[in-house]
Amino acid sequence: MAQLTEEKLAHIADQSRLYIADDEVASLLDDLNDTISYTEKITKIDTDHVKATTNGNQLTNVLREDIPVKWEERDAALEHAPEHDGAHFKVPTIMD
Amino acid sequence: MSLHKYSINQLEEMLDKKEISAQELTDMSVKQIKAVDNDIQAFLTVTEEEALKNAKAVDEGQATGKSLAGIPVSIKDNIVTKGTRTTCASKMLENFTDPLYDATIVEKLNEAGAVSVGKVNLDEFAMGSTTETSAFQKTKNPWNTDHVPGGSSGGSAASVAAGEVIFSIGSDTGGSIRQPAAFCGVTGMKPTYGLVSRYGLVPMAPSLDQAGPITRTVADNARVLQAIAGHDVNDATSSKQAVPDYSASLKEDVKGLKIAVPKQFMTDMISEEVREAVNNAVKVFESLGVVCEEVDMPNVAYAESAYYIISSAESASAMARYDSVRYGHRAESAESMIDMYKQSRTEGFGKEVKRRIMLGTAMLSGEWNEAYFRKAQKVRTIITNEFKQTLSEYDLILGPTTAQEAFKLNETPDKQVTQMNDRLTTSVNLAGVPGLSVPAGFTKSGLPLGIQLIGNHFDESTVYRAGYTFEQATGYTEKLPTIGGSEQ
Repeated sequence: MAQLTEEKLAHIADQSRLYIADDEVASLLDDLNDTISYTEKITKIDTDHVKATTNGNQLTNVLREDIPVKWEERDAALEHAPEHDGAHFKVPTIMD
Repeated sequence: MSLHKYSINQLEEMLDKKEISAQELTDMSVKQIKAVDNDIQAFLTVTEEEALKNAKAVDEGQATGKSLAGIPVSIKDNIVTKGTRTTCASKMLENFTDPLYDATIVEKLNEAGAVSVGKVNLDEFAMGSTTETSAFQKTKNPWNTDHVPGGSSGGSAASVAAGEVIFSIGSDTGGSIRQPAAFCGVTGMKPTYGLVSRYGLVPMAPSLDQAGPITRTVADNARVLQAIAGHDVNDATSSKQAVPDYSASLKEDVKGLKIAVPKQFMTDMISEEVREAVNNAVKVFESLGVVCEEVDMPNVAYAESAYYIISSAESASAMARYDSVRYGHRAESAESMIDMYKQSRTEGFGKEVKRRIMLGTAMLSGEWNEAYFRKAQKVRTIITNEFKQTLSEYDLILGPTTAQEAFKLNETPDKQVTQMNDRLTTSVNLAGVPGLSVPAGFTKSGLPLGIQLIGNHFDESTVYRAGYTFEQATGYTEKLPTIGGSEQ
């Protein structure tokens, strides 16, 4: 039975871009592993030759004509950014 | 007069005859919010001024002949509204004051003349089934404020049940319209996937998400769905199928319809009172000439497992957009770009959202991708085929909406009950078919119960017809909670 280990949880948290406090690790592991164990029962179902359902319905590539629309809310949208200089989003240093 | 007992049909007539104005209706809605919302806590934002302005426009004839002219509505706060704060009940979006555009649903409501009085509470990013994971407040059940309203559209259901609005728009990824509707004694429809545009509905699990109406009565529900359904060029999963006239089919005879009751919906986890409500519904339908039969849908027993995997995986991906670069909460002390992402997301998201992101990331990672995520998608196909097969032999599927009555506030619900609840509702999202929760009685303690009617893809008409007939035959919708202002 697949289970998360402390090490794998740390990796998952890193990929999820989240920190986990030391005192949360044990209970989070229990909680997640509990759900993972519960979902194990689907492994019993024979899915050979079954196609995966990846969308909510069978529609694929519903295309529309590409019509340019002028959007004049740039300044207002920038105001949502935690930090900006009036033309760009500002973020902490990416490289030294 | 309180809004409680009026249907949209009645209000339309009163507005036409000038017995009441849209401004008076809006005023009643706002007054009821002021009178009861300190207790109910359904609203995150009340837009009184704008509502009165829009109501005035209706009175001045700008919405004459429109299907929802002057009708007060609340909107779940994960649906974007131009000029009105949209938070998803998350600290992450606490200061997201103006999404700059309206969701297509909101545009359609505006076109139909509906008057929005504000945005209502939900579980954070719609992840939960009690509305308790909201970062801001806990909504109470209007029938008994020691209980939850359900979730995640708990604010929507509570605002309708408490007579604060005539209807609300919720969203349903795994039961989030139907379960709170059942807990609050109102009517909630999760439409066929693709019937209602998702443009502007903040995604939780995009292949499962669908918005829909929460109303007091079935006839109201059909009217609201009529106004919001239909193709939208801005949603690539939006159906082009013609939308039928739902109200027209309500009163058609149900005699001769065939309804299936799956064994897997009626396990030992279903409380005695809920079981009785379903059995009673079967008797009601049979007395009207409907054939009801128990059926076996063995793969439905795997629905909640497949749902936990698929929904958390899709959520992990959908939540990746909250990077605190373009909008959203940003931690103050970040030292680098990655540290900024991590600190901001750790501070901005609540416990349940983080839990699901990590579960979903695990399900998508390495070998687990094939073993869990891909496997669950295949199981989804099998479950969908089982629904299609059953619905090729029967017109509808009937079951409980929930395994028992509304949970108590601040109490962690029993895990097995939650799993059963999830089976009843998530299976419908996995299959993409429509599901309607209709009031079906009360517990001895006075809490409402609901039954769920499930139909074939795009056959909302038959679902509504059966729901309406059941409602008319039983009258459960007539009883109202005694919370401030309702006239019994």
